[in-house]
Amino acid sequence: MGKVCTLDEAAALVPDGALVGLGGGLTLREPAALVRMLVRAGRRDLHLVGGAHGYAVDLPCAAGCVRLVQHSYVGFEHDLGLAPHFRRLTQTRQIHVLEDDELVLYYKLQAAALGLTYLPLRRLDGSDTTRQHDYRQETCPYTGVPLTCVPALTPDVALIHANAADESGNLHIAVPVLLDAILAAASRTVIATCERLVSHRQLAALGATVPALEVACVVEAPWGAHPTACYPDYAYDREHLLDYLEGTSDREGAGLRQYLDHWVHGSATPKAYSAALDPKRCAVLRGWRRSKIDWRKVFEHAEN
Amino acid sequence: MPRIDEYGIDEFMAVAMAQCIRDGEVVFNGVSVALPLVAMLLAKATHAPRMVVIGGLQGAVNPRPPFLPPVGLDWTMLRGADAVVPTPQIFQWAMAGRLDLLYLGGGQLDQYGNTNNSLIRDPGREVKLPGGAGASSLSCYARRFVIWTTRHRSKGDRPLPRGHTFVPLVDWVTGVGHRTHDSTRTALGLQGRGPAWVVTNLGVFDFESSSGRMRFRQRFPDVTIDDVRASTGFEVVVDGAVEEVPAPTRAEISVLRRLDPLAVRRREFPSSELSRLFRRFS
Repeated sequence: MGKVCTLDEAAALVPDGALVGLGGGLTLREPAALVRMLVRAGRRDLHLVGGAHGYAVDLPCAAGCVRLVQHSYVGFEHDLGLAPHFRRLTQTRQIHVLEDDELVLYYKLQAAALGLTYLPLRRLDGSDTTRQHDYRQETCPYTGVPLTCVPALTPDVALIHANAADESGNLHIAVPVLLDAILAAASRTVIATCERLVSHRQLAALGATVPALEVACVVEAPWGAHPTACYPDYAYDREHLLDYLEGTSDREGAGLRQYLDHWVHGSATPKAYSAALDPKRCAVLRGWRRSKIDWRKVFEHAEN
Repeated sequence: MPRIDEYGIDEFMAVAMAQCIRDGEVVFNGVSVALPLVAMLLAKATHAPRMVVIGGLQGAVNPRPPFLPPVGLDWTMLRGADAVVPTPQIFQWAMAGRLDLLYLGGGQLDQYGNTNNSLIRDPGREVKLPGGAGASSLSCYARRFVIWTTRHRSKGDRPLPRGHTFVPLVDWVTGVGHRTHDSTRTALGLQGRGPAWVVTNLGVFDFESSSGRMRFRQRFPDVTIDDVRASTGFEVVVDGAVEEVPAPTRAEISVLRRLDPLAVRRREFPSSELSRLFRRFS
């Protein structure tokens, strides 16, 4: 019944070389604590798959955990720019990239969730992003409409950060759910963290976004999406991301080692990670809902 | 920041991008953030009140954000929305032909309206771009799309046409234009009609229907046809008079500043462009 476990116990469910699906996206609800867990456990040759991510892809790339990245976008948007380690390692071919389209990725997961081996979509063609996948081009047997068949994609493991969970593994995820629900339905094993464990009754009142039958285990990890946002609890930590991007970019890798020592190896439990955060900064990230002015403070460095 | 009686190229370009929207259309901001969103919310607040704004992959339908954040996924975009739909619903609308207009950016663009968000292949080195998000599918499905860039000018540090954002043919097609190296949109059997407009920091372009090539239509007042020729890596089609981009109204500029008080739109411009100021209003 009980599916509550520790990060170390969860890490044991992810073998080297696993096809790992990432929940959340960009600066929202990335499964950051779970990604740090894989880095800490020294996983190798991972095949990451997901929609659009920043930190959750760049960090494990930097730490040498990744063989292949199958994503629609990897970066930090106009706000903070390129994903430096992802870019460096792909350009030197230490990591392979298989760009996938966000919409197509969704239907590949949908096919897996349906127990199908492929799904037909309206005709997709002309782009190199599409053509590198060698999809079968077909026509509808009923109407002759041009279609494209995309194969099912079944991740070995999905990593998801939820707002709340109960002991049996029901997950509540606040909107926007992004691809998390379909990722959970498509994957063989779902590993979740949550901001807080709540009673079964409280979880039912919030609503289960991902039902327990799809979930293997859950770890209580407050700030488990940090430095990305987990609304309504906290907004994204722009300063932390800036420190990560600027502080880990030196050629010798000293900054990166320092970052990993402090935030990954030195903060091995959710409790230790929370304790390592600056309380003043946490208050700003949690204070977004007090007023529009407080909310703007989260982004204040964005002002020109 | 510009004063009250003047406006910047960021604001002028946002207004020009808003003009691509017709009232009643369902519009998605695609893979990029601030500038298309400013344009969409501006159009909704001015000439296109019946349009539907779909704000990002978070599925916010007609959002009324307190301010625009510098990132694509944030709860500010859910505020005041008529509905927040699951991300897959946007994909369903796209494939079912219900998206009328989409904005697509790109690190490299070409004369047929192909966008490259994936990989630049310079001799001797490759540059990995972040990726197209939904560009390769949505460019096939949306009824039409608008291409935009704030980086039309030549970089000047590399031989032509490699120094340009606009090249004859992109190194990697992410978003599909009217024609690729081996086929055309019609021959491919794609649902959407492809790119309709290109809005850059130099002017506004459409596409010649016979050839599918970009055609220069409007220039910003401080830009000449020669500037555009010198900044473009292919022969620019000019057919008839090139007019000035219509000046914004005072109302448009003030609405735009209210929508985007953090001026996140300015982050998308090279700093050298932000000194361009304009004083004439319609």
